[in-house]
Formats: sequence, structure tokens, C-alpha cells
Amino acid sequence: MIRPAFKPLFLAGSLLVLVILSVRDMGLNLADIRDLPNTVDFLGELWPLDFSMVDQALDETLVTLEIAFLGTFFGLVVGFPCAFLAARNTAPRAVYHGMRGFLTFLRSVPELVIALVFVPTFGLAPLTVIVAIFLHNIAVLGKLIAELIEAADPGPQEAVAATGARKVLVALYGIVPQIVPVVLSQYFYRLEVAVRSSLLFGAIGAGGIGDMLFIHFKTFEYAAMAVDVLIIMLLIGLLDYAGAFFRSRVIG
Amino acid sequence: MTLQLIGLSKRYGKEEQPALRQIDLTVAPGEFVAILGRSGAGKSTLIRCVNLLVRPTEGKVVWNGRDLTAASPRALSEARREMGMIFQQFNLIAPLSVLTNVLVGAFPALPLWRCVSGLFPREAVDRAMEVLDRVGIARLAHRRAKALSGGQQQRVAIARALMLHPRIILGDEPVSNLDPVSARRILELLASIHREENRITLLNLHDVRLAKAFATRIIGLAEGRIVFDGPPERLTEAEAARIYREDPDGGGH
Repeated sequence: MIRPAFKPLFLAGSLLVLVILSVRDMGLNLADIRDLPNTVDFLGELWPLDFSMVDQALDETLVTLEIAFLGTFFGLVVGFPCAFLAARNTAPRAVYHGMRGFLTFLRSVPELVIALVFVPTFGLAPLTVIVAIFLHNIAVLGKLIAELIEAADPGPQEAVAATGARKVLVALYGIVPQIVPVVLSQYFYRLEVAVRSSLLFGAIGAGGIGDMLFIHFKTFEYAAMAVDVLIIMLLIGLLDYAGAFFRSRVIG
Repeated sequence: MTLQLIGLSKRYGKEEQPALRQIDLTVAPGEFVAILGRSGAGKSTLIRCVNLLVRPTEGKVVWNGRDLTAASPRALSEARREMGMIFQQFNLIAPLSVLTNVLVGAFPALPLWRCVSGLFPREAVDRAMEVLDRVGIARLAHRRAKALSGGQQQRVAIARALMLHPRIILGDEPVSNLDPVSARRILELLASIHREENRITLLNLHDVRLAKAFATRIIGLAEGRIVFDGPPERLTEAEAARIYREDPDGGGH
């Protein structure tokens, strides 16, 4: 018997059942939406913006950016060579499986858990966050770059190998120039994600603009908090712009 | 210095049909050999076995009295320095300059730190400019490789192959991606380079007329076997038809 593979009604029905089960299981009360005016009041208190602490906020933003930059940059520095050991076409079979396994393991540990593990060593401080972002990004960038290496055009690699050049140079000249633009755009995306993580880690007291934002929230200084949020939005937008700029320079 | 292929066979993975079956071939210096055959006949595999880009399943590749299939990585690198290779897709490093692409041809003769740093010695740069001049595009040395036309890119690839004074020039369909005029010019360039020194030139071609016009010897390949071997004047229409004959079992891939 031939069964049609595509059954939209069945699919929609199943998804609806899943949604209903999830809502019921948690006991969500949709009637709470009546309290929406509370949020409106809260948003009203953000205005007028309080710029009195903007200097300190900018300093803390720089700390956040530095945490994210150091963590991802060293993640890239270590992850890049690891990627060649985790790619089928550049690593011996045993090394390939070992490195793949290691990266998968590292990626499966949440950044938050890595940070908690290092709190006893570095305390609730920027260094803890940097190490968490660093280790997590070795795994993420290592895997992403390994996939780029495997998908690279074999033509230039063959040409460099045919000259008699050693394997390191086949990788450096036959693969790296091809993948650099994509690596760069992946890196800037990871930097943006790291800024968001470091904001959250800030909220648990590890420093940076996230820390300041949370303090303003807890001390009811909503108008100052709104400025913090504004600065964060500007920062994310700026990173997006910088990523596009550098990428266009490399692709040129 | 002759090139000898002895009992060369190649089977890819678990494929049923081998790409090459028991190829025996000796090529002497001065010979300009064109290999003809349908796609899937094993031409690319044969060319790639000469410099071990493809490792044969059986048989020997003897160059300069040494079996390359049994050579150490170092000895293989030394043999490859004597074999310049060009490709159908040119295989340049697209984002890099023409000059850097040509310098890649000298890598096995340069210290590793030079190649990694990109600080190339004066003599290597001079040699690169010399070969670029030889192939007629010295003025394009500082352009990015990808900005060039197909014919110009193949000239860069030829310059790269010439860097270390190769004894053999290998070409895998070097003119298949070019328009007829550029194709003829590239073959004229390869023929004049061939005559300069007592080289071996070994090219895959798919155009019988071009093969007859430029080669001193033609090899016909069908289903991984040599079915014709002789001077161009012996390649009659009937012989050519035998090389390109339709095979009911489907030799192509």
C-alpha cells in the first residue's frame, strides 16, 4: 500500500495537542494577562531617561565587550587549529574521531555550568566569564570551522599538493583563503552571542553592564536602567555593522 | 629520464568497475603525449596517478629509476618538484594575488617559515616574475587571481607549474574550460614550453583535432584500458571511433 508522506492536517493536529499538553502541565493561567497594565506602568517609569550615570554605564559596557572579545578571540585562536584536527579531509582518522568527540563533549556542557565550575577558582569575576566563553567557543567555532574545511573546494588543495608542498602548506594555502570570509562572519556572530552571555553572567554579579543593569533594576532606578538597555542595543547594532564591514573588506 | 607506468590499476572504494586496468606505458623525454577518451574512461585517474595525487591500487610508477608508489613522503615531494601540473578548473587560490599563486609553485624548495609568513626571498620573486613573463602576463602580477579571464588563469597555473623547472608537465583537461581561441593559444604556449627543454608533456584532451595538431603521440583510453597508442598520423577516423565507441554496459560515470 502506498501512503502519502505529506499529511498536513495530521501534523497540525499533533502540534496542537503538544501545545495544549504543555500549557496544562505547567498550569499556566492565561487570565493573568489582565495584569498587563502593571507592565505598562513599569515601562512608564523608564521615562524620562536618567543619563546621570551614563559615564559609568559606558565604562561597564566596555568591560562587557572586553569579556566577550577576550573569550571569543582566544576561542578562535585555539578552535581554529582544533578544527583541522576535527575535519575528515585534514586529520588522520583516529585524531579526527578523538577531536570530534572532545568538541562535542565541550559543547554539551552549558556555558553557565562551565562558569559555575570556575567560580571557586576565580570568584564571581570577569575572568570566570571569560574562561566560560573561551571554552564554549573552542567547541562551537571548532565544529563550525571543521565543517567549512570539509566543504572547501578540493581544487586548490590538489594544486598545492601537486607542487610537492607539505601538508601544513596545503591547508594554509589550499583551504584557509577559501574559508576566511565565512570564519570571520561566524566569529562576529559568536562575539554577539558572547556579549549576550556576558550580560547574563553580569546579572549574577560577574561585572559589566549586565551587572549594572541588574543593580539598577533591584534598586528601582528604572530610568537609569533604560539607559543601560539603550547602550546595550547600540552595542549589538554596532557589532553587527562591524561584522559586515570586515567581511566586505576581506571578500572585496 | 623516462616515465614508466607498470601494471597500473586503480579501483575507487568498493566500485565494481576499476577506473584503470593494467596500464603499461613508457614515455621518453621529448614526447608530447595527448590522452584521449570518453569521460569516465580513466583519463583523470591516469594523469593523477603519475604524481600520486591518486594512489594506484596496483602497479608501479617509475620516475628517474625510482618507484614512486613505494617512495617516502620526502622522496615523493622531490619527485613532484620535477612534475608541474595544471588542471581543468585552473585551481588557483582565488583571493590571492597572481604573484603569490605562482610562488606556491616554489614552496617545496623554500623554508617553511618563508611560506607561512609570506616573506618570500628575492630570488623566488624574481623567478616568479620571470615565468610570468614567459607565459605573457607579467603585467597582471599584482591582480587577484579571481579577477582574471579563464585563459589568463590557466597561464598563471602554467607559470606556477614552471617555477621549479619541471621535467614533466601534466595537464588534466587543461583547455576544456576555455573558448576555442584561448584553448589553441594555451596549447601553443604548452608546445613552445615543451620544446624549450627536453621535457615530457602529458595532457588529457577531449578534442581529437587539437590532439592531432599538437601531440607527437596519442594514447586512446577506453574503460580503463589503453586501446590506441601511436603517432597522430596513425589515428584514423576508424581508430578514433574505437576510442569513443558507445559501450552498452555504460563505461561512463
